[in-house]
Amino acid sequence: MAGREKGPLTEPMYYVLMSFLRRERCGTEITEFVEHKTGGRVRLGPGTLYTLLSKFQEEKLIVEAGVDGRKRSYRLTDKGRSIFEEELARLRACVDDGEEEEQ
Amino acid sequence: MSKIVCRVTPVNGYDIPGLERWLEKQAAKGLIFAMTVGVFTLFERKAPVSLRFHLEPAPDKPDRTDPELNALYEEAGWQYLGLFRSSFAVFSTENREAQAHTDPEVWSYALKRFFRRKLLGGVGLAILNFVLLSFFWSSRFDLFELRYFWAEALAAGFVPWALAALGLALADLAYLHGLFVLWRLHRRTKRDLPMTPAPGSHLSGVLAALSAIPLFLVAVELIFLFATHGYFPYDLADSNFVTLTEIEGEDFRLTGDRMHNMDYISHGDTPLTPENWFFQQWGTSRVFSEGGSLDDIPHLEINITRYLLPAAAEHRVWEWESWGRGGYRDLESACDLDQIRFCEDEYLDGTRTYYLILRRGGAVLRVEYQGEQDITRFLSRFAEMIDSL
Repeated sequence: MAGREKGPLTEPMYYVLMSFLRRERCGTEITEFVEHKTGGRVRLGPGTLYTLLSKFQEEKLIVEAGVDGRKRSYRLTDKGRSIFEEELARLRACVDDGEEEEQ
Repeated sequence: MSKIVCRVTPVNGYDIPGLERWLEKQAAKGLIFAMTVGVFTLFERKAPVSLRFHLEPAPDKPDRTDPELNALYEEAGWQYLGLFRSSFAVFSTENREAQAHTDPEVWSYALKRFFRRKLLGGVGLAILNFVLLSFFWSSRFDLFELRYFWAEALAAGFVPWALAALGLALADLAYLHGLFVLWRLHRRTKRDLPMTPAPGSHLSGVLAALSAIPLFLVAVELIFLFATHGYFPYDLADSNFVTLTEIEGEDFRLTGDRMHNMDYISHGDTPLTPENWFFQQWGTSRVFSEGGSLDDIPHLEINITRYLLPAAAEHRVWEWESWGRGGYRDLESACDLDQIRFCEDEYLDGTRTYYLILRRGGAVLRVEYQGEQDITRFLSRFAEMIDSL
């Protein structure tokens, strides 16, 4: 996957992928999801979200699910889910390593 | 007072921070971005306001607005203002703290993608360079010709070629600098450095603006050429041109070959090339049907060029004199002509060719005549021809 070779997902990338785990969403819903999920810690600028949606589409991590007026909805692909799970595992390993050393 | 104000864009068209700062300064003066037309930026005059601008690299089809892009920005409190040269969607907000991009890696990715697209756009620019320069190119435009025979080069269309070369060179420089600007911006974003206007951005903005002047003139020339071919022949009968029959008499037999016995005046004229006329008539000969040398066939050839500047016409007189073996002399001033040059050239077989070059102001006429008559007797008729053009 393009971009993945360069390292882990950034926080906005991670949370945008996460937002599709349970259902398809449009841009506004993604922003709300990330805001709510992170308690406002992770901010998602409109330019960042737009570029990410386009990037994820190009990399076939998400696909367009429908259009309603000016809004487009997307859903996660198997490839997208696998990338998310890979990142989740990496983060878990990071946390485990940190906790192990802390004890 | 007009509500629309036009300004030349004073920074490189790819310098996002430079453009954003410029648009902010204009907004503080009450000029709100509306749209771009070539190198010009149009503003709507409103009350001065402190705005933050963001230029988002436009999506793949930059000729239209992406509704999703606008919706995302509007929901975040930004207002869509228009497209900047089909490259960027322009957004503004009164919230000085608002950020369009919150992930430097994603912004860096957007810039890299935009850079690649513009790099591909360079292929289009290269094709434009090749097509325009080839279209106006003439083999006469070499250094020797341009140094010694520049008036002839002007008549061959040097001005549109030179303007195209100048305009393209300026546009190419601005484009190459624009690529550098994008590359620099991408590198700075990747290293999480602040976005600042690129060095030399004002200069390449000026270069891009200046390129529009010669390219506009070339565009006018091209449109004129495609619409009219720049060629306006007219009937010999409607002209006041001296004919071979007039010189040799009614009994003189002209060739039936239409190319060598023109019943029309060839006449070319475009906005950037001197107006010119050509006419020729030849006596009858088997040569036209069976082939062979045209050397000893009586004929009359008339070339006329009208320059904007008399100095160019004066130089053309010198250039035409340089064609032959020399021997030109001045004839007595007559018919209000500025120059009358005459030459009689005798070949080994005894045939004689006469050359007459007349100039009045910017108009210069060259007559080549082979025959038995005294061509100088028709001096006043040739002068009338210049008058009647």
